[in-house]
Amino acid sequence: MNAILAVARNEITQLRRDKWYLFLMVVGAVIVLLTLAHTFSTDVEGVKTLIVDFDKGRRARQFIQSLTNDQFFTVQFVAERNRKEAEQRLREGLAKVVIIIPPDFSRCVNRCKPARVQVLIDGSAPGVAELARNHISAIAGNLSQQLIVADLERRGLSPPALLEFRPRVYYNADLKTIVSVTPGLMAVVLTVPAVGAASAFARERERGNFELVISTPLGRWPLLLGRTAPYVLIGLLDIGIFVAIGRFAFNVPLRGDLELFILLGLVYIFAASSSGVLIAQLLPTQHTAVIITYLLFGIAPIYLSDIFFPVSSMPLWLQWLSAIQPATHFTVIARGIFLKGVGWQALWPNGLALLVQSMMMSTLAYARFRKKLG
Amino acid sequence: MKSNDLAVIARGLTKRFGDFTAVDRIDFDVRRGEIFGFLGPNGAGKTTTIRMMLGLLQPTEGTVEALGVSVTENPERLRPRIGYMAQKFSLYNDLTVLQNLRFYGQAYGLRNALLKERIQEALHMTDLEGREQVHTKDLSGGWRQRLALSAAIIHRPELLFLDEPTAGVDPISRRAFWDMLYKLIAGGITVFVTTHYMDEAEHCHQLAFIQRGKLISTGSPAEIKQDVMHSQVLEIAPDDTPKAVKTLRAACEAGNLPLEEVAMYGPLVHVTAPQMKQHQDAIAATLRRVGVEPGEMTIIEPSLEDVFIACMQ
Repeated sequence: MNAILAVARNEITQLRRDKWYLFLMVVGAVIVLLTLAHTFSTDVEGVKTLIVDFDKGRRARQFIQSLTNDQFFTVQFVAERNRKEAEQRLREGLAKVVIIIPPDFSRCVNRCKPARVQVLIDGSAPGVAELARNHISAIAGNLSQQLIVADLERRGLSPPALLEFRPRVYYNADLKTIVSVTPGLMAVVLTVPAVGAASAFARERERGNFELVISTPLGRWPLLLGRTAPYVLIGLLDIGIFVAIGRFAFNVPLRGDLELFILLGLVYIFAASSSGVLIAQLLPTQHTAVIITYLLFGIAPIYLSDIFFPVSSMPLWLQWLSAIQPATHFTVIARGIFLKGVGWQALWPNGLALLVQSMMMSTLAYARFRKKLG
Repeated sequence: MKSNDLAVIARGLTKRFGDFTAVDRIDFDVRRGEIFGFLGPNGAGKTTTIRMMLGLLQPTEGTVEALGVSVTENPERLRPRIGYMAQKFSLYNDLTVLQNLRFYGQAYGLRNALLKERIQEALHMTDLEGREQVHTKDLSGGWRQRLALSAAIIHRPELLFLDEPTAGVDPISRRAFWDMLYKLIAGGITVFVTTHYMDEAEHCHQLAFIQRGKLISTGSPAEIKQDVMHSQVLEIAPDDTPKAVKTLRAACEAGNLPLEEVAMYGPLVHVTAPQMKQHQDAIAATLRRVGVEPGEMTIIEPSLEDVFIACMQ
């Protein structure tokens, strides 16, 4: 125990001398979390929409009202004389959507004739275009339904039974992606300490400190655990900061047990750090060890850990790869605790997976670590 | 000699890296309480040998026993009893002198009052007092070497391994360093030191010459001089030294003079040959023929540098 403390203190003293490194591990991780959460968020609001209303009748106003009620659109009215000018706006990027209501719109509706509305959508950003089309067709569908019902009632007929659709989304009522992405991203960003631990071992070899350290009676466990411990502590600091950012900057609810989250977070950081340490034992130089650790723990989870891309639709071998990623399990844990408010009863398979992984990786690192040169 | 008088016993020690044999079946003994000098040019296998003795490299063949412990089988049992100064400075540059010493003291299990006492002792021994708070990377070469020595002796080892401890250090620091080693020896420690400085080799009790992985000669400095140098060294002080060297080498190559070695020592020339007395006149005549005045000629006792050069032929 004293030996572990001696090695850990030595590593902390070195880290404190290297201010930029500490800065990277804490502030860098925060910056990564903030930027990734925003860039990967697919929440779309306020799409600039131009309405050219040639009709100006009651029915047109009704239609426009439905559009403005949807937060998706930010509606602007323009008094264009023709379609050409409206298209010009689209081309200049002043609007993503242009809706043209023809002069006979109200008349057609009132006479129960098909009323045509022209919608021009900027397809250069297909994601937004697709969403815009869905929103408009939903609004038009609703309006049509209301018109049919009103028409039937006016004629004294009772309207047919309609299929009622009342979706209720659990855990993330507004389906905000930032709310579900942020807990997952914590899994990605909490691997920054793992990269640090990997580089600490490689650095010691490269600077020649290793040769002298292994000539002392310091055992292999103290050398491994003592060097890793400070990075797990930095990870703990990162957890605290990330929980605060999630709560206060992104309005991610924390419905479950914070202590459980911190505890499993530590297990996760230890699993990732031990893997980083193992990589540093297998690869001789600092930069290759750092790059490989970063690829495996900083990049791969973005694609493979069910944070943005659904793993269930991936080929089986990728699903397996996903299952052995510690980040996959931690994503389930983070979402479970933050959004669902579930506890150990629901999360134990993932918690156990992380425990097994951290023990396996540290044992492998121990087996691979030799107090020998060359 | 009783075996417990020996600090190190190496037998058939061999290290191969692929096809390259770095150390080739060497045998030697290091006696307790002595300075054992391991000499050889760069790349001769000195560092490889020292690393095998420390258990940091596994020998391909052969055995090393140090302080009665088999290093090849049980290096961990040896560690608390030995100190090591690696060829490359291996302490933490980001740490202060005191932080480095505290860490290495703790690595050897020293704590609290004992740790403080030993740090003071090591600082005093190496004259580092007053520099405790200096950052290691700000120390000059000579001071770093003192720090490396104090880290190596902080746990009062019985056996100290020094791998080219004075490389790249100025002569005054080197002299001071050897004074420290003598103080340690007086305290009963055994020192194994590698070097290629011949003046340092003269300070050792026992020497071993290694070249291309093979041990060429072992013994005390005097024994080695006798063993290796069957020849005598003639010191000449000619008025034109470069011309004298050139002339003698040419004569030697032409077979006119049976000389083993012609070497320039500043304004002097050292000529090596067996039965030097018989050739002295011929050498003088050869020089005069090309207009060089040989000046004073004396047969001198060979220095270790002469021995070293003779060995490496």
